[in-house]
Amino acid sequence: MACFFYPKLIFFQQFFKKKVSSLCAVWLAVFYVSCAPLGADIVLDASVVRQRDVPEDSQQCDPPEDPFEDLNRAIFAFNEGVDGFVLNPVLVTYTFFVPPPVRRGVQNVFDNLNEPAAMVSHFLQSRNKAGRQTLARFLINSTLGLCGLFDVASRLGLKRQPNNFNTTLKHWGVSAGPYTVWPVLGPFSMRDSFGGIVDFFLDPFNTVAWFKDATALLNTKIGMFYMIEKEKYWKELLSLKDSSIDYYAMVRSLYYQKRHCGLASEEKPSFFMADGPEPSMD
Amino acid sequence: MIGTFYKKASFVFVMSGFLMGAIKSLVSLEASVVAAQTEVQKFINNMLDRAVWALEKEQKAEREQDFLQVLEDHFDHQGLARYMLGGFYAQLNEAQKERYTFLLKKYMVILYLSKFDSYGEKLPRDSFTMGRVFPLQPQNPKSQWIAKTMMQIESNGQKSTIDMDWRVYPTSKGYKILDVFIEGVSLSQTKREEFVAAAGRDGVDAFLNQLAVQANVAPGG
Repeated sequence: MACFFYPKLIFFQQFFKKKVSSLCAVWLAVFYVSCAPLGADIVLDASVVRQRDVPEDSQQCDPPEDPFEDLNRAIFAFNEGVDGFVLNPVLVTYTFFVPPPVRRGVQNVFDNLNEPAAMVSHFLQSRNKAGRQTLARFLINSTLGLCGLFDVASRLGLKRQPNNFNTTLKHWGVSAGPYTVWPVLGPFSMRDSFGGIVDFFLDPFNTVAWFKDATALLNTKIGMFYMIEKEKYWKELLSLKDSSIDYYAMVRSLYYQKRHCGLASEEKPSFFMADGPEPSMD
Repeated sequence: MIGTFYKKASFVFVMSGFLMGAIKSLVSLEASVVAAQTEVQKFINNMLDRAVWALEKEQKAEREQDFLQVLEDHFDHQGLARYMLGGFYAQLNEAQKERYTFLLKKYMVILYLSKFDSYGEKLPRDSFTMGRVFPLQPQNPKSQWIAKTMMQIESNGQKSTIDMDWRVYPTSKGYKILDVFIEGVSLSQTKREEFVAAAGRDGVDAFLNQLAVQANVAPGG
């Protein structure tokens, strides 16, 4: 009996000594190797951080092309003069005499007139739900909201979803083109200039006034549009102007970031450009 | 027979090691991402607390001093200074670099204070609410992070919200801010274009003098 079990005992003894201990070693090695790549501390080196932090789908926001900079700077200085002598005094008078609720109503009318252009751009970008919502907003606000004076649609849960033809062109892969400062109108890229013309004719008021040759009416509307647009930013721009080193370059940068880089969704990591500052290591 | 059994058993055993390792790493990764997220939130909240506290000071000099300290403690000045001056930074000698960094800090204080002042006289702490906090590289706690905050302001009886997003990265001494996005506009990108344009047009020394004027520092300071 003992002769029968003894060799087996020896076998299992050797098995446990050699095989199991080596297997355990392999198991531990595999365990730590599969933990290591994620758990290991990463040495903080600028190039490593940089490589790691560039999202794969990152959309680089290229610095603006400004081949006509000298001409643009001259027109910019002219526009500053127009702003200082004409637009800003009008704006001060407007904000002083017209109470905020009335200004809000006027803003709503202009926003409502922009809705058809936004709707067309939504559909052209295959954003059908947003397009339908914008159409519903336009119909509700134009009727129940008394020609857009009151934003009834927002109260019904239909939030405004701005869009424009510049975004559509970007969606189709058209590049921004050179930066241009137009007299009185201000900064535009070539793509935005073209997009602006399309949006202009998608505004029902503009189209009717244009084809009815109601030039005075059209000019008044354009003037009011620019004043209302300027009202949104002018105080902020004035404070930024005071602290700027080169106001022209600052406005160009702000324009590009808002109208071109800002076209990406802010919720996406790619919005936070890969082309940002690099960490300095301590 | 024992050999076959041993082969199969050892294969299963080794694979279980792989599986256990993968599970452990996933669990610890998730935990470290959550921990880093909490750390970033704490860091930003602490910075905002101190900034609001500094803004409450009545004396202008005191406000500037306290705000400068907040910037010193929470911002990566070297990284920002290098980025904002682009290729011209490499052309600076040591004395110019020192002057530029000093002026930039002063300038940033004035810039931020004027920005906050334009939002209203008083800025209560509950004006800020924390939004989403996420790493730029998904599931990588060591990557740069974006912390989104919203600031409620009241102007002419109208309430509005301003988005302020902070780009932070981990260092051995805690987190540091690399950039601020106000309403989607990057402060460092805007200032870079300004600084590079000014330095390119008038030269680095003229640019530093201009920066000194904006930073309310005496010429040559």
